[in-house]
Order: sequence, then structure tokens, then C-alpha cells
Amino acid sequence: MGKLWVSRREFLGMAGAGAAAAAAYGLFRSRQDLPPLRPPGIASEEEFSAACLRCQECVRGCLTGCLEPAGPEYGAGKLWTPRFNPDLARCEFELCGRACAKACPASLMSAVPDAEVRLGQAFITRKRCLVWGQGKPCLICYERCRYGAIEADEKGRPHMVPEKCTGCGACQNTCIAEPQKAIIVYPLGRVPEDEGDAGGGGRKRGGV
Amino acid sequence: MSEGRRERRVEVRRRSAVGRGMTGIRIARLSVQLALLGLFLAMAWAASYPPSGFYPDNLFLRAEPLNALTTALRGFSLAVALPALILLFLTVVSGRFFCAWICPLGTCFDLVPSLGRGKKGGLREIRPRPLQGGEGKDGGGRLRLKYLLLVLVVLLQAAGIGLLWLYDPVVIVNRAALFALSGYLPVIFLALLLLAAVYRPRFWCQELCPAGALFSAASALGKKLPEKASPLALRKEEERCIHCGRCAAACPFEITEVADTRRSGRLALADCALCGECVKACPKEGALALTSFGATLLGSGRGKAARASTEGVEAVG
Ligand code: SF4
Ligand code: SF4
Ligand code: SF4
Ligand code: SF4
Ligand code: SF4
Repeated sequence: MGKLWVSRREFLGMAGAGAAAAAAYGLFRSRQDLPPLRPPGIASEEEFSAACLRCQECVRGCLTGCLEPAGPEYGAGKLWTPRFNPDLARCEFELCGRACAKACPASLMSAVPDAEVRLGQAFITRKRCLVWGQGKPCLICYERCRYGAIEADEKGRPHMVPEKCTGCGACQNTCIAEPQKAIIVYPLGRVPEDEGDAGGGGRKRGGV
Repeated sequence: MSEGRRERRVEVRRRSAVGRGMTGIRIARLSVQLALLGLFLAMAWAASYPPSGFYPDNLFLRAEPLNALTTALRGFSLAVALPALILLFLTVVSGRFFCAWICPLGTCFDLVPSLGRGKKGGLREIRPRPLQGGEGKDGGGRLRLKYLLLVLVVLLQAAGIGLLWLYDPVVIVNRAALFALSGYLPVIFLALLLLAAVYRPRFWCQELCPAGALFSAASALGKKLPEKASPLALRKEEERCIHCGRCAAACPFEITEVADTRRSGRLALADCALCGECVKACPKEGALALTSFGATLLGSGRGKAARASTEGVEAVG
């Protein structure tokens, strides 16, 4: 080999290591049907998962503790990236001063001002809802939503007003439906269409 | 094998623990390293709500130039890029000092007890390095894997495939320090790197680290800068050098050019981290020195190394 190149043994070693890494990468494919929710203010999911350093500073910095590192179930490409999990807590992006964005050394969560933040979109699966499905009184989500994105009709049933929802997760965090929560925040663009039945099947409680 | 190039094997046998004890330069360097490692960990752990207002909370992560570079590519902001720009500027004018004095991962490597290095009666073989251009020219110049990795990581990052998170030295330690969040896998990864350091203290730094490669490339830019203009420099007086190879044997970065070169003045070796170990190991007064703007900070041949016999040090050509 030329004088500027690595030795053959080193080259073969690197090729072998690369092949092993590629194989490991393949094994770690995502097993989730939905991408993870993200902290507020990212530019796009593709840019975010490529550029995030997985340093965990945002997870540590979050006011409410609503972030957690995504596990291997989201695939190697998203391993340890911060995932917004409303089951842990709601996101208080208007109160915390966007602590996660300030903590991020890669400046990944500063693309969007507070007024335009949309972490996702809440969706009510009616058959799991206490009011819709079992005729019991509830409306906790309606009381918790500070954006007026949930309205109650004369029978005390919650209705979504999607354009007002910021995806803050307060409703999901507080929903008491068992064994699966009835109101869940979905990633934008992945919200079920058929209000009433969609998403009622195999998902775990609160799992997104 | 090209003309004018030959393989040379240098074997160094140590009969005493000379060059191993805690002396001025090592104490100074270790103090700086430990203080900065402490600051780094404090910053990593302190980043909880409310933000401390202590700018910037994660200076080390921001100053790592590969991260700053890729962040700046997405939208340049001087406030974000400033720490990295300052660091790169200092690297151009002095060298890759970050690696021996600041890097949290580098400090971890230096805390690992090493085998086969400086042990009493131990024999350490320096891996054969081709001498480029023959006698009288600098050796080294081998294109190490780390440069390929650097190009690969940057290209893939630009193509939207993120690999930097896996290779960024500061993030590797940050994640391990915050294992309560991401679990023990990052700790195991760090431990594997440290295990390699038992055998070759700066194996990762010299062969793989993409940040280290960037620093080496940056320091090559300032190669021509005179010693007087450099905040930290390694100086050699060729007439005084007896080519015993002790500097090369002591170098944690496995640099043999210090011994091989026939040049005098500021050496400006791209891979040199200005740690001063070679100066400490050199038995000849005035042959090697760490300097700052031309003034000697640390000269060779003043301590135990000078009193020790050079017997037992053989260079096999
Ligand atoms: S905006 Fe605040 S509450 Fe929401 S994820 Fe970031 S730090 Fe947590
Ligand atoms: S702080 Fe930024 S780079 Fe670090 S894990 Fe969070 S999003 Fe990723
Ligand atoms: S509907 Fe739920 S997620 Fe949407 S704004 Fe209201 S509380 Fe937040
Ligand atoms: S080569 Fe990389 S890991 Fe080693 S000290 Fe330099 S920056 Fe740190
Ligand atoms: S050449 Fe000398 S100063 Fe440079 S890294 Fe090696 S031992 Fe340290």
C-alpha cells in the first residue's frame, strides 16, 4: 500500500468491524409502529435523529421530567435520543423557558418559538374513554387542557379541537382510563383518522 | 517499499523507573486535567432545572469542534460556535494541546494504569514506524485511520446519517457520567476504551478519535508558525540530541518523530499533544523543551533523567 495508507491488516480489521457494526445496526431496527415524540421546537425528525448527540443533557435539564432516552425498540438510529413521554409528565414549554433547548449543545430544539410549538396531537379513542365507552362521568382531560383543545358537549363527552392542541400531554398524563389511556398524544402526521375506533387494538397502556 | 524509506525498530529497555515518578510537569498536567474533569462532571450533573444561568452549562460539549461544526452547518450562530472557534484557533497556533490537557476522555485514559510502560525492568517495543523520506527528514506522516473516520463521520452526517454521537469523545464520557438516564451500555463502552488504554494509553486518540483527527489537521495548518508566536510549543535542539529514543519511548501518543527528526526549533508535530512527557524523559540538557512564546517552560535534562545512565537504552537500526 502507498505510504499514506493504513496497513492491510488494519484495513481488514476496520472492514470487519464495519461489517459487524452494520449487522448490529440491522438487528436494531425499530420495532415501534410510530416514531417517538420529541421535545418541543425541533426542525424535523430526520435532522433531529441524525444530529442529536445523545448526550442526555436535555433529559437532565427538563423541568417536568417528561423526557427519557429512547430505548433500542426505536432502532439503532434513534437509540438514546430524547423521547417526550406524556405518561411521565406533561411538557411545560411556556413555563420552563425551554430548559431542554438551552441545555442542548447541538442547538436542536430552538427552531420554533413558543407560540408555534406542536409536540404532537392528542387523539381520543372513544371506546376506551370512560364517558364515551362506559357512560361514566369524567372530563379530567377537558379540565386539564389549558389550550381549550378539548370541548365538552351537553352530555359531558370530550371532543377534540385539533387545531388548538399543542401536544403538551397534560391530558394523556392525567387520563384515568384503564387498562389503556383513552387520550394519547400522537406524532404529527400519524394521528389516527377514524375517531372512535382507531388505535384501540394492540397498543399498550399509554404506549405511543 | 518506496525509495528513501526504511523501517526502523527501536527497542528501549529500562533498567530503572526513571521517567516514571511524579515530577513537576506531570503534577501540573494532572492537576489541570483533574480540575477540568471535575468541572466537566459538575456541568454534566448540574444541568437540571432550573438552568443555572452559568454560561454555558455544557461548555465542553459545545467546545468540541466536530459538534460545533455540524451544528454551525445547520445555522451559524457565533454564540454557539465561539468556544469551538477559540479552541481551534489555539490548536492552530500551538498544537493539539486539548488532548493532553483538557479532553475528559483523554484524562480518563491518563488515569488508567498502563502495562509495559515505564515498569521496572520492563521492555517496551515501539511499533515500527516507517521513516518518510529517509534520514534527516521527519518520520511519521502515516495517514492514520482517524482521518478516514473523520471524513466518513462528517460525510455521513451531511448525508443525514448520524454517527457523531457514537464517536464524539466528550459525549462518550458525558453519557457514561449520566448512566442513571441512559443505562449501563455507555459505561461499558467507555470501559472498553479504557481497557485498550492499559496496553496503548492513547490508542483511541491516535488511531480512531475523529475530534483528535480534526485537532491534528488544525495543528498542521500552523506548522510554519515561529516558536515565538506559539503559546505552547515543543522545541528541539538537534545538536544536543543523542538519539537515544527515550522521548519516543515515553510518548503516550506513540510519536517517534521527536527522536527521528533532524530539525531544530519548534517541531509542530501534527499528532503531538504537548504533554511534556518526552521533555521529562530526555536525559540531555537543553535537547527538548516546552516553550511559551519562546520562553522555556520546562527543559530536558534537569531532573532524575539527567543523572540516570543512558546505559540500557539501545537503538537497533
Ligand atoms: S420545554 Fe420544558 S417541560 Fe418541555 S421538554 Fe423541554 S424542558 Fe421539559
Ligand atoms: S441535549 Fe440535544 S444533543 Fe443532547 S440528547 Fe438532548 S437533543 Fe440530543
Ligand atoms: S388536548 Fe391534551 S395535548 Fe392537546 S393541548 Fe390539550 S392537554 Fe395538551
Ligand atoms: S484524541 Fe480525542 S479522545 Fe483523545 S484526547 Fe484528543 S479529543 Fe480526547
Ligand atoms: S511528542 Fe512529547 S509532548 Fe508531544 S505528545 Fe509525545 S511526549 Fe507529549
